Parts: sequence; C-alpha cells; structure tokens
Amino acid sequence: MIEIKDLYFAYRNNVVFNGSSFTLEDHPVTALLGQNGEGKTTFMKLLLGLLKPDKGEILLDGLDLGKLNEEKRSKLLSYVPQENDDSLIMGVSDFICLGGINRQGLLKGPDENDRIRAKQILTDLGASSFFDRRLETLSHGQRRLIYLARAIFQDSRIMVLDEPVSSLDLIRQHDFLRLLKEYTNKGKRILMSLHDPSLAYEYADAFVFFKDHRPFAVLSKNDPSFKERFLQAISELYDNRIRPEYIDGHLFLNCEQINK
Amino acid sequence: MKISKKLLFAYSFLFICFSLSLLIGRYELDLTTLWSVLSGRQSGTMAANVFYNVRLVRSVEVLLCGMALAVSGFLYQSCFHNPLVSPDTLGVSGGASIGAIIAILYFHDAFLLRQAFSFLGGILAVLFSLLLSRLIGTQKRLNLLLSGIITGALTNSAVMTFKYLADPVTQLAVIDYWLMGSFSLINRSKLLHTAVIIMPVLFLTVLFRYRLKILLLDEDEAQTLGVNVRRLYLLCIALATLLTAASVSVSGIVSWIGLLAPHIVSLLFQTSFEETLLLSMPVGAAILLLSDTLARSLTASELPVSIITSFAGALILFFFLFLRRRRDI
Repeated sequence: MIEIKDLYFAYRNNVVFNGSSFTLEDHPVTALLGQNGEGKTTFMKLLLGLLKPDKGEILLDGLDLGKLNEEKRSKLLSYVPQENDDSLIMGVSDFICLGGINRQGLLKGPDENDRIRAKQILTDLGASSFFDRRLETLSHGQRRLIYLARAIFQDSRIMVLDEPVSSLDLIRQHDFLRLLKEYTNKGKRILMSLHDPSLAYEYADAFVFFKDHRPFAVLSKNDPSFKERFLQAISELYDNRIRPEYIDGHLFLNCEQINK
Repeated sequence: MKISKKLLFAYSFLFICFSLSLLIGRYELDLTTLWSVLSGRQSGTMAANVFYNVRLVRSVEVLLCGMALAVSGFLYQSCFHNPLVSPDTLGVSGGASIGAIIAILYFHDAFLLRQAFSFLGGILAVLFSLLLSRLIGTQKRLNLLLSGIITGALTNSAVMTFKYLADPVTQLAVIDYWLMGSFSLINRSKLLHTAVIIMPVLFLTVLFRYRLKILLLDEDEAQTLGVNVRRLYLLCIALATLLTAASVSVSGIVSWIGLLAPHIVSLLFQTSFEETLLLSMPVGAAILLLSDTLARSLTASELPVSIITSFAGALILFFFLFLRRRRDI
C-alpha cells in the first residue's frame, strides 16, 4: 500500500502537486492514466526518490520513502524509464547484471550465478538469443525487453515503468504487458503509466487518473460499480471528447472529430 | 577473444615498446650490453650509469604517465558520456600550466617547485570548475562540461598574459617548452613523486572498475539501481584529476594520449567498460613510450613530445577509423 500525504512539488514556476493526498491499495498491476504533462512521470520520480517533494511524504506500507538511502530504496522499487539511452555501448548480459550491483559488492562484477540468472530471465521473456548480443546491435523494441530484464534481475518489490509500451507495435504492446502481468504471479507489484486506457483496462487491476496535476480518481476492479465509474473517469479525463464503451468485455474508445 | 588473450597481446606490445625505449637513444645500448648491465657485471661503467640513472628512470616515468593519461581520458569520457572529452576537459592542463609558469617566472624555476605548483594548479582548476557548475545548478553533467570550458578559457587567457609578460630570451622558451611537453628533465625524485600518486590511483581505479561502470548509465537509472551517483561521480573526477595532474606536473602538457588510447582499444577489440579500462593502460603507455623515444632520437636536439603525439595520434586515429570503415563495407 502506498500512501501519499499532503504532497507538494513544483518545477521552478510550474506547480505539479499542490497538497495531494491519496492512497494506492495493494494490487498486482496499477496503471497511471492521464494526458501528457499531467504529472504521471513526476509522480513516479517522486516515488522513486529521483525528485524530492517540497513538502509532504510518500509512505510504502508505513515506511517513509524519503528517509531511505538509494540502496535500501532499490530493494523496494525498480525503474524502467520511458527512454532508453540509445548511445549505450554494452553487452546485454553485463547490462542485465547491473540490476544486482549492490548484491555483487563494491569491488566485484557479476559471477557465474548472476549470468545464469540473467539468462533464465531472458529465456522467460522469450529472448534468450539476446544473451550474447550487444545492446547497440538491438532494435529499440528489443531493448525495452532488456530494460525489463534488468528490472526483473533487480528483484525489487515494486517495478515502476514509465510508458513501457509507447514505442512498441500493437502486438508487442500486448506481449509486453502480458509478460508484466505474469511477473506479478510471483508476488511482485507493477506500477506503470499508460497512454491507452483500453490497454490499461485489459491488463491493470487498479487505476489512477491524473488531470490538472492531480489524481482525480483512484479505482480498482474490485470496486462496486467499477465499470460505470471507469467510463466516467475516462470521459472526464478527455473532456468528453472520447466516447468509451464495452464490447464483449473489452474497452473500446471512439475519438470525436476535432473541428466539428 | 578472451580478456586474458587481449591483455597478453596488449602487454606484450607494451613490453616491446618499453624495451625499445630502453635501448634506443643518444647513447646506444645493445642487447648484450643491456644483459650484462642487468646482471650487474658492469657496475660503475658508462653503460650502467646511462641505463640506471637516465634511461630506466625516464622510461618508467613515461610508462606511468602514459597509463595515467589514458585512464583519466577514459574516466572523463565515461562520466561525461562524451567520447570526445580528454583529460584536460575540466581545466587540469590549464591550471597546471599556470602553476608551472608562476614557478618559472617568479620562483627561479626552483627544483620541484614547478612540479608542486603545476600539480596544485591542476587540482585548483578542477575545483574551480566544480564550483562554477554548482553555481549554474541543475543538469549536472552538461554544466560541469561547460564549466570546464569556461575554466579552460580563463586559464588560457592567463597563460597568454604570463607569456606576454615573460622575458622573451630566457623565460618564454622555457614556458613554451613546458606547454609542449617533454620528459627530458626527469630524475629519480620526480619519478618518485609521480609514482606515489599515479600507482595507488591506478590501483584504486582498477579496484572500483565495476562500480565506476555505473557512470555509463543515465543518472536516474543508476540511482534506482541503488547507487549514490553523486558520490561516484565525484570519485571518478577525483581519480581522473589526480592522474592527469600528477602526469602533467612532471612532463608538461602531453596531448592526445587520453583521447587516443581508449578509442584504439574500443576500435581494436569489442570490449566492456572494465576491459577497456584495463587495456587502455598498456596501450596508452606503449604509444607514449614510442612517442618519447622518437622525440629524443629523431633529431640532434630533443623535440617536445606533444609534437609527436599530436601528429602520430591524428594519423593513428584516422588509420583505425579507416580500417573500421573498410570492415563495415
């Protein structure tokens, strides 16, 4: 359970959180929804400790995340950023093993067990052939998998992903999210931002809607009358310019023409 | 190729260059004389004197400086995510030049003072760059790089002012010679002073190689992997700065080695961070040994070593890039 208490944060003149308080219950997959620039990435960075709140605190199961150092926090939270650094030159297995940098000790590199684990993770992701490859020879989509593999290697309790599928083609988006969903079977938790509400509906269990720099709705699939409230939230999110509907248990979105 | 093989290859090459540097020079030593000197049968002779007091001291110093410059270049390139960065990015060379020039102009170029002043000058320049980047704020890596450029410009302007004020007959030539780098004034105590800095710093760098590797990653990523990036970043700058300052303070400014060695390694062998670090050392040392040998044997009077390193460096880099292009097609 993540509790956000009275959170204030601003970039210079741009106020993002102005005293927000909300609670994320413990669900396998939580999706953050909202248009660009509404505070999803900022929220994730505050959670990860990459940004410091101006005021307020974020508690994970009662533990104040702001009081933890990098090493302790890395055991609780791992991160797959939105952009991969395409200029990075490194072997794939070396890169994945960096996920365990603190377990490997200050002066040692990955050992044989680390390599075996890295290979196993890649095999589980259906990408074992990448193990001996180099990062710079992989495509953008393939690299997303390697970043995911590193986060899995890190073995933290919650994995935070920023728009993990925005650069993937349609089939790969589903493949990627399915892999994430399977990962939660081992008791791990996923928190990610997504652009596409229908993907979120398909794969997530709980939803946070961001608008005007503030989470205006927090829903879970277990809530009473969840389906209606979810539709309402989407309509509100897009100023009624999107008409969502359920067909055969899936969510479909119709976008209205702009200049009517 | 396995790392052990690559290292064997690189260190064999270094061994050959080191031997050449011991044998070639104004006073010719051949292999048989060298053997008898080494086995102690020539003590007190001219050959032994040249070998122990001149040739060996100088070659070891060149070897150390070559390793130091190569590693510091590689460290800076890694921590700034920029392959074009060289050991004097943060103003080390500029600061060291000012220190050396002050010693030359105002302290009668006293024994060891020049070395001490230029070492301190180099360190101070880097601290100044760090302070500037602190004042500019956010975007740490880019800011520090820009601060280094500002420091470089300031020190450059100061160096030109000093040169303008210097006595053209006696002092200017000494300054210019220093700015072009040379190992001709090496003696045992200078060697000792550089070795006590360079050897432990190289050792620490190699020891922490798996940790320093994290600097290749984006700062946010590194932090979420559980690393205090800021501390690591400062460690890297401290190591690289000590290496450069120690080397520059004894030889003057030797250009190109820090840029060239890591690039040759990564063009020759496809390597990881820690391998490039280990291989840059012998490669940098070998190039500098060859350059220094050429500098002192090409002409009747000794050439400044940067003339050779810049010229050869440009040629070698082009050669390797050309080879790679051919291979890609």
